[in-house]
Amino acid sequence: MNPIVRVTLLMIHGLSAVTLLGAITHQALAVWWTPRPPASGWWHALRSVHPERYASAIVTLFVVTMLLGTSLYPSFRVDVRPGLDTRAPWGTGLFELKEHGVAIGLALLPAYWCGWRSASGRGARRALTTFLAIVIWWAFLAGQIVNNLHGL
Amino acid sequence: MTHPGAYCGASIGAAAAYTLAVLAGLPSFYYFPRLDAWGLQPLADEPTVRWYGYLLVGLIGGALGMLAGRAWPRPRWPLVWIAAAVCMVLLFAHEWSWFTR
Repeated sequence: MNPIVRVTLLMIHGLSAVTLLGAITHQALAVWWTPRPPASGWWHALRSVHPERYASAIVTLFVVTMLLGTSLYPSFRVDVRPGLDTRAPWGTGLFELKEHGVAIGLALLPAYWCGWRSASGRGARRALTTFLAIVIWWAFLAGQIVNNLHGL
Repeated sequence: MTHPGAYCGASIGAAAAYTLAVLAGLPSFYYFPRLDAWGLQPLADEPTVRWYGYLLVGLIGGALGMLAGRAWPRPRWPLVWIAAAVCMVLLFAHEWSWFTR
């Protein structure tokens, strides 16, 4: 892959991931700590969102971010992975777990989306949103660490 | 929304199929990025991407799960996140050897 295209894709992948991270964090906070109207301040503002309005955006961002990552996977496999395997195998393990987390997160999306679109109840929404938030945070942090170890 | 059980079934089926694919090394097709080619057998000394194959198996599992889930009278929400959590634990155990080298 052309280096300019690769770096551009990596940048868009990163920006998309940050947007997704913000969206899922707002939604998770809102679903666990629903604000009470008279409150004010930063913590109140952070969770004062309509979490149901985030569901479709989160599904879209998740899929877009994942597709961008998927397009970069061959470059990682050829240019990064061999070095990691010999110098820092735990980095390879971290990346493998990141990919597994993303795949399980992708699998979770139908139920997550349906949970927010139907009368699933607070418990189901909390559980699915929390799980997805953990997966997204995990993938983001693992990606940052691996990229710091050996970038594309 | 009609058939919410189908969505739960799709999630459970996809997560289970993906995990089984990884644990059992199921996909029988590979991508060779240096050659920009696909194959049904791994090639010696050639970097191989197997993840696409795992995802395809997960997709098939999701489709089957969706069909099975349509028959459920009620969506099984707890089963979704419990299945996903179990899959993550199994996948973590599968990759553990990377952290002990």
